[in-house]
Amino acid sequence: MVDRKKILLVDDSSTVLLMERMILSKSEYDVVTAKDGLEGVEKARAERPDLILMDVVMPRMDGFEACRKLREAEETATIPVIMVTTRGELASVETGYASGCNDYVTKPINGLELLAKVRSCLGQ
Amino acid sequence: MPRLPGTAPERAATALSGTPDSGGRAQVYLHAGQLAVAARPTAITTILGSCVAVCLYDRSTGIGGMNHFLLPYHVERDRSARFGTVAVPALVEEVLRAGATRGTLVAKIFGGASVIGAFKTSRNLGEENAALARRLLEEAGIPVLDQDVGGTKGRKLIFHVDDGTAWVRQL
Repeated sequence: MVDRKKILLVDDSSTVLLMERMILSKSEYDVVTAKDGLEGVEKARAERPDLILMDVVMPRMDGFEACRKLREAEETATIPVIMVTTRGELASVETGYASGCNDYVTKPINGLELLAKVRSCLGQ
Repeated sequence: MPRLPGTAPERAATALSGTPDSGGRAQVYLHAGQLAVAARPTAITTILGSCVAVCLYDRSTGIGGMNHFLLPYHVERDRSARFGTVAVPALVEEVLRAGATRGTLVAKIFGGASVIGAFKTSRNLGEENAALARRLLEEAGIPVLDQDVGGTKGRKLIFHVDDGTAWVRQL
């Protein structure tokens, strides 16, 4: 039986979520979504995904704060997080790493790049 | 004091802590998928996860540059510098076009981290990127003086094209 990996997508843009879903649909993943950092942290605790794609600028809780919350909690501390950022925010990539993210991709999202990073993070 | 090829001071130039003095150099931020070449004193900065940056400089002219690629092998529909098989030859070509001399070109390689560690995965994107960079530079006859690749942490890299100094901090 194939071990299906679960990926949590956190972004306040339904367009980005749709695009990420479409890219990931090329492989067999279970996908869960959240529309801001707060919901992302809650979903991570409940769903225990194998990987999280995290936007930066979101209402209620941004990606940095969400990353810190994930790292603080024992049950989510080791889940790999890929930060999804825009080019203009690249100066803040350092903040992302300081918050606990493991890698980053930039918008507009390149399907090949995202899939390669996702597969690598999942050991595939 | 002039440096000799491959001497210890050049390797030691990869500082691991502190903030480098830009020394009045022009500042360039290199995004993933880009490359930059300069024929005047320039500090190029980038941030690397599983991506790899190849730094080239010509000690005889002070001309150098850096690329930042994400994936090792290009595909037919995309021959951009996001791929190592495009980015490495393109960097060599651009540096030579800017006036560097092939015989005195040297390289340094950085990045190629793996989120979950090389021992846990059969396919390690970061290591594939770093291995490709080493292979292409060897095929081009360009010696690699220094490299800081692998591990599980991202890196901030600042490279001074005019003297080949590279400053790396793990993130």
